[in-house]
Amino acid sequence: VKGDAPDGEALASASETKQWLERAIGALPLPQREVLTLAAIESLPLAEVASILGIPVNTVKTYLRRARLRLVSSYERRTKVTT
Amino acid sequence: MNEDCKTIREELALTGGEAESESAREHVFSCSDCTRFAEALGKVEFELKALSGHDVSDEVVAKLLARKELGVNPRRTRWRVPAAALATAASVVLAVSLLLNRGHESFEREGDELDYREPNKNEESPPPRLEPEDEDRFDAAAGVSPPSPPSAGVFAPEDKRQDLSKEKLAQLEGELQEEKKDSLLDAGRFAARRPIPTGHRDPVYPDAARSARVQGTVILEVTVDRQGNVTDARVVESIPLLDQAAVEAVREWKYEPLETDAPRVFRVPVTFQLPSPDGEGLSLLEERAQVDGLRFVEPRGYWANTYLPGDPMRRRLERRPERTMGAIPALHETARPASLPFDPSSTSALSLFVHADRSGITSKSRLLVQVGIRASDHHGRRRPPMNVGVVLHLPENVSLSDASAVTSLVQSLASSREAGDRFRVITTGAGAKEIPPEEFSYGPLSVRLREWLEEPASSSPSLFEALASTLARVHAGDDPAMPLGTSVVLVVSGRSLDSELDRLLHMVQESAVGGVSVSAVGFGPASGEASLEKLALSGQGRRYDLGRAEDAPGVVDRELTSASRAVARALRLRIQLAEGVRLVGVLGSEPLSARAAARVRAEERSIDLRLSRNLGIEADRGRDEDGIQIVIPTFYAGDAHSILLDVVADGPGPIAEVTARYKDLVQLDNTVARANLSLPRSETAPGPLEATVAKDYLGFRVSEALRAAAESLDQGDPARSIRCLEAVRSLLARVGPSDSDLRRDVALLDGYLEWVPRFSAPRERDYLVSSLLYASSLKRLSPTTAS
Repeated sequence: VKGDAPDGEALASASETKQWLERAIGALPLPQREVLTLAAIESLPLAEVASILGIPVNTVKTYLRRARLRLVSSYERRTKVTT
Repeated sequence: MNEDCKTIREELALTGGEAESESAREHVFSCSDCTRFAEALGKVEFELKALSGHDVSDEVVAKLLARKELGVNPRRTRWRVPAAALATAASVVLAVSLLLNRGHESFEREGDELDYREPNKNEESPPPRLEPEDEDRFDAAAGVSPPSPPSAGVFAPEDKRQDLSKEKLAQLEGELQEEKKDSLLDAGRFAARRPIPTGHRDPVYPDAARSARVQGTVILEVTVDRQGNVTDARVVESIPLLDQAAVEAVREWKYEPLETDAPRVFRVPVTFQLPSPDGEGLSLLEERAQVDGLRFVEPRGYWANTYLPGDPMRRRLERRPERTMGAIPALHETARPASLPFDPSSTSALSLFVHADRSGITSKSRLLVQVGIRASDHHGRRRPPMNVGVVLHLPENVSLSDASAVTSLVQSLASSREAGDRFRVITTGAGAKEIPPEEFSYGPLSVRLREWLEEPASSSPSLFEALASTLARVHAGDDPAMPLGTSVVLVVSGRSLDSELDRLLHMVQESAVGGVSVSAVGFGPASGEASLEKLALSGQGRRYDLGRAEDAPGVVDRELTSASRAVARALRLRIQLAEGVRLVGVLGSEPLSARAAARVRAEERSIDLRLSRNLGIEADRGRDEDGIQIVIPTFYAGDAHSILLDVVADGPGPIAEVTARYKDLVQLDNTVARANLSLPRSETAPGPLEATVAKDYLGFRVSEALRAAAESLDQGDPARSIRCLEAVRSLLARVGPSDSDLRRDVALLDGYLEWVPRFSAPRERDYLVSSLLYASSLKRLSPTTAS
């Protein structure tokens, strides 16, 4: 890499990851988003998440699994585009 | 993708990256697709954990509240936790549980006026800062709010508080306001005039916190209703072991009835301060003999790491006596950590020890268990080629001496350059300028640097963009075949970073997880020590202070050799207490919140995966274990560290089992060290080994006392500062008058006892405060780092 101008794309990546993630979470279906927020961001135990949302623990697990899989595949697509 | 991969990915997605079965873990590390998946998941997970509390989605809050039928107006959808709340996870979770616990009644009463963001919207808004004419009214509230009441103990008892003259309080407030304008505490304290308190109960100091010697200020956001009752108290600045006691106490406080119907919301600091260590001298021995009436903590989960390499404040203090304080001797220079008699292993990077302060017991006894780690002295490796980016964040006007220090730093880098090194320098500000690796040699550097330093920098350049671009380039040049730690970005700053600190921290954390660490070098009067320290901590880097041009070669040398000085990475200590052994506390440490623990795990996993890719050290992490878990990211050659546990054992027999799992960078392998402690039934007097455990403990207490003395002095209470020092001094004199280490500590304390009472001018006082703090941190450093 040579030249004096900061590399726009790379510069953007650091600050944009968070924005991307917020968008990606926003694009999840509501139930998945709720479960992800409580379980993955707030680190609540799954049983607690289930009782807050009033759904069975197994459903919580399913949503959580789907939410993370979607985020990862969206993340992988995104890195492919940028690199 | 076959069925196995699918199942395994689903499992990983459920747990957030922690494979539960051995076979699944093996699969992940043998299947490259799944490894990539795990890495991407780790990255996403890390980002998720980094999202702050106010990102809780509207829907969840609305739904949560609706389900609980709390009768809150759904208008209050955005659940914002003040950005000042550092322990965001704790605060949100706590807020949730408070809401749930409080039941329906009070909420119905308050109705939709619960919106505490704008509690006073029907009356004129309160002054954002304390204006002079408000001082009288503020006085009355001051009895509740001083961060440290002038007398010892948790809170000043009612009668003593009344003894304080109005003038004294006003003076104290004035001083605090002047000296601590930036502190979080004050921002909250002066934010609004609060109702006048009419009754309050002292918090009960939790035993667990007392024995772990956890103290500090919990900041609560309190809602007071029209009658003056506290209807809600939420933690905005948390100290996990103290939060509950603070909330319980504050909920019983009373205020004068409000003039308006709307409830008032304001912040209240609740300070927990332990009595000065061992006021009576004998109390240590008494405390150590006490086995009943103690509160115990669960001996499991993640606990804070207490091993901190480096000595950030040293340079700054070393140069201060010459520049500002001719008269006061550099007392801190005589502070030494307690010696830790651990022998390094000749075959592996680390050796592990477990000792107690007793050689045998016959009945239920309180013990100190010392877990010691010693790194081998010789890493014996040439330093690997380094990939270094330097970001110069220059202040508007660089003084001549600072300019020469910065120049010297960059030129030292140039003259240390070896084959394979890639160094670059970039400046912040509009039209950021860069010297790329191919031009990084003495001649061009001198010319360009002089230009940069002479032309005035733009008025408010952002470090963020220059750092982001430098990180991107260093990442791009990061050779995955090189050891972790060979790619480093050095932030050299002469400016305050406060305005953009949050986003900087996020970025450097992300970068460190991705394999490029960030170190911080401060110079000049404006560089903020605290923010640089946070930057280096988040960036898994080191922190330096560039006082003079002569400091520069040392900084460069330490930074360039840091990768080769690391002998172990991702050190995971697991301490399991035997049956019948209960934990009173881990000295200097505390249990981590769920969020902090998740971060520790994310960092650990990133090191794990990187080393597995680069050095072929098989990845083996990602599982929680039973027992107390402490993760230390990097351990350096020659260092020693000890962790002291305060426990009560029912009787003789096994006490503790310790496992240290780490990435051995000498052997390039996963290594596990184990050590056990078992005490026989015997009444043998403690021998020399046991005495060193006791001395280690005393060193800890001296360090605590020095810090408490610094804080009291900083708060304008030299008398209390002196009491702290005297108490621990009398303790040492009683315990070991003949021991040379203890004698040195006594001399150190005598020095401060001589000088602290003499000065009250702010400059001298500041100097003594820094000196005490530095001496306190020196007492806790690894003995080899300190020498």
